[in-house]
Amino acid sequence: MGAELSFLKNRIGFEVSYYNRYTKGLLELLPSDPSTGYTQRMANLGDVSNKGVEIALNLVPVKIADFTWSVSANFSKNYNMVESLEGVDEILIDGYGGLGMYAVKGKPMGQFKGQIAQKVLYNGVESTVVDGKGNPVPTPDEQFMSKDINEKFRIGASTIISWKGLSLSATLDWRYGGYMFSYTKDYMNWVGSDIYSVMNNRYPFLIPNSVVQNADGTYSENSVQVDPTALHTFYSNGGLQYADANVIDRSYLKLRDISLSYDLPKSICKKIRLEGLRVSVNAGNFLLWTPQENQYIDPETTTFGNDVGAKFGEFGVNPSYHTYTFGLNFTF
Amino acid sequence: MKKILFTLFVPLAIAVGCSDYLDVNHNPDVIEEIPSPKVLLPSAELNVAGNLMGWHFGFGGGYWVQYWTQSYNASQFKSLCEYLPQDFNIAYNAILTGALSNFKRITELAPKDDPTLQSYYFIGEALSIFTWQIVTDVWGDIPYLEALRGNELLLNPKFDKQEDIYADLNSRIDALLALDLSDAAAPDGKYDIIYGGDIDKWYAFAGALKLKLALRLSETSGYNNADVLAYIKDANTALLTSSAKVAAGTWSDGEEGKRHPMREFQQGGANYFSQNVIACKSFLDYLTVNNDPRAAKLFSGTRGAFFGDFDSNGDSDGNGTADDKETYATSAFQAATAPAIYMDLMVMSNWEVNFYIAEVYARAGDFGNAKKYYDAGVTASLAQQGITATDIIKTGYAVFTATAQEAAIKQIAMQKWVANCNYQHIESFLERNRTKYPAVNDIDIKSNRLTAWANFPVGDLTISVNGRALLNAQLPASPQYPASVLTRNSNAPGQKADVAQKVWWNQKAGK
Repeated sequence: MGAELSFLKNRIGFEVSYYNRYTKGLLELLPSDPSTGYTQRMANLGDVSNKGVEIALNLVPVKIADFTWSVSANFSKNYNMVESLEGVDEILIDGYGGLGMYAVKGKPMGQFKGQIAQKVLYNGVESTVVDGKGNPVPTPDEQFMSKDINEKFRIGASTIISWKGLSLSATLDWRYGGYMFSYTKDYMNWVGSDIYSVMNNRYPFLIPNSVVQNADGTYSENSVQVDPTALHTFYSNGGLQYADANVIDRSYLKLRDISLSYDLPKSICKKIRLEGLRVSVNAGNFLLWTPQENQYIDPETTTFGNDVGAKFGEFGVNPSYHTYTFGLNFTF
Repeated sequence: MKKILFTLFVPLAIAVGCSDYLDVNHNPDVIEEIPSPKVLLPSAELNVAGNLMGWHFGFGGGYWVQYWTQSYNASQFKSLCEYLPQDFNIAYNAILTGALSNFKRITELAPKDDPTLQSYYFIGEALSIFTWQIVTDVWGDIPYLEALRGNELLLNPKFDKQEDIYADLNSRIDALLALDLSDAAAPDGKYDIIYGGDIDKWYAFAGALKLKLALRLSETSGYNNADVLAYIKDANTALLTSSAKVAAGTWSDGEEGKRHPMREFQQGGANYFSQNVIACKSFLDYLTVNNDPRAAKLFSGTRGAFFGDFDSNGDSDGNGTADDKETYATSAFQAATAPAIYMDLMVMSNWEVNFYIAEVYARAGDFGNAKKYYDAGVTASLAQQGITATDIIKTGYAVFTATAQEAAIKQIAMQKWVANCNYQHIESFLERNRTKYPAVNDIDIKSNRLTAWANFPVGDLTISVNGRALLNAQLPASPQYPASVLTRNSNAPGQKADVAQKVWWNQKAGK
């Protein structure tokens, strides 16, 4: 359902639309217990609903003689919900080893679940449980982390400036919200090249607010530093957070492309027996800004295929590329 | 006229092609019908063998029985050596979806009463029983009766208890040995990598497998040694004399993906051995102190490190060089050219069977026969490693002197530990847990390194220096369940607390 309006001879345009889509029996490649003799099966996942709104605004603020400047922006927001699953409350969609992405009934698709650092309330303060060597103890079973793959909203903007035959355009894309798994971060902590693996300049430290479990089940304040000769163990397990550390914010702002083109005037074209000639130069995937917790990877990259599972994250993917193209168009 | 003919023919052409056109779920490039059960045999055999000395069983077993330990300047196997949670998931996934699935398929395609195909049924069923025993020995309670039935939509197979699995395996091996193979056509040798199509050797393999299944339960209440002894002595019993193995000639050490698994981990470019594997003092000292000729073949060098001591900053022998700067003995697997004697990948070895027989005789009090088969086992191990001199059992440290059951079991178990290095790592781990030899010495290495070095308990295992606290001075007994099973199977139990959980048959007192 939508509306499209424009005013002032198309100088101002406005579009808004609302959608509500219910998918019954979503097909998905689901992982299987290898004890069955199979590792995957194509099956119905369940019912999923997607509701959302899209708003677009087009403006031509300046239009004089040979000079035009136009701007357009769009905003979209989607609400995703897993309405029902085939007989269970949660189904694993993708993941590996200690971390997985689940479809959970009554929640948006793609909830992360893994082993996190055990926490207890000790003297009213939330404290991390550590073992005899000062390292955090993981929860024995996997827990939901209140993190999912869905973005909160996306905003795009593009602008074109043209004067005589010259034209300059740019597109910005902002995606906000959602999480992804980054093996690049995990691996950088394994080898110690992550900027966050130098806590306290690698001098000995004690995990703040940490407690140890006593033999009788109670807790007492921890006094053991993280073993300074075994920092590798500490960081490769995820440091303070265990598996939670590798599920990072997937928001980003990209300057998706900038392009500059020039159309030769018709008078010159006719002299060289052409209808038209255009020269253009384009830079793609030009600039990327990510939140501070993502020092590692372009959130648009993935190594988990190209359907829902792809949103899980990346497992050591190559960085994405800038592309530069130079074009020459002849029209006869 | 022409027009009428034309319109008549066209619809017929479409109609004939119709049923194929709508069959969109069949991929013409994939075989759907398997032409013969023998087609599945090579990859299934290699899958089992490759996993027995592969990443999880080969390294896991090798480290956990202290043949090797993690080197000081790298970290690949630290988590194994400090007893952190392990699930051996690669081995589980590969064996269940690969070898066991294929063996099941072979037995379905080859009817056991059809003389032209029954030899394939025999091989498939024998290897299926063999592989299932290893899977339950390693992980304990696992899905068995409801396993491998994903195509029947049994997607959440429930876990069976190890006792019940063994009961079923025993009835299967009895049924298999009762088959009449007198009219059976020989299997195609080109497709049988282990025995080249020799069905008599397979019959002996199955006979030895029944012995292995029985003896593994030696510490459980239902074990009856007299029955096992009667089985061995029975004239109709055939027991393996020629090792079931993937022979060295099968591999091609210079080619990617065609190497012996342990070589693939080194030569394949990852250098897992040269960076991470050093000899463990627990094993190497036992060999060098006792002048065992196999030491020089298994390792390059004579210095072993304390197990699980890779974070040490000390100088354990007080010679002025810190532990992490010393030069340690390295495994034969990292040699520039593949060591030919270690390229035979054992599925079931002749020394293993001789040692089983010796142990049954020892438990029956017949030490004369126990010695005979013990000597045969040690001789077979020496011969495999190219050593003809059998001094160690004539005048050396391994002379069989036991006149009581427990001493005999210890002698047999210690030589089994030595013989299995570089050949049968997971089997070594399982038998160590069953017999509790080599025994575990509680010495606390970290508290006084110099004393520990000078008074090292040769012939005992020590507790991992870095893993002592985690398992409360216990040793690993079984890996945990793979996450791929627990997260995808609604009938799965909770995860095991740690790697020190003993499986059912692991009942002997001791660590």
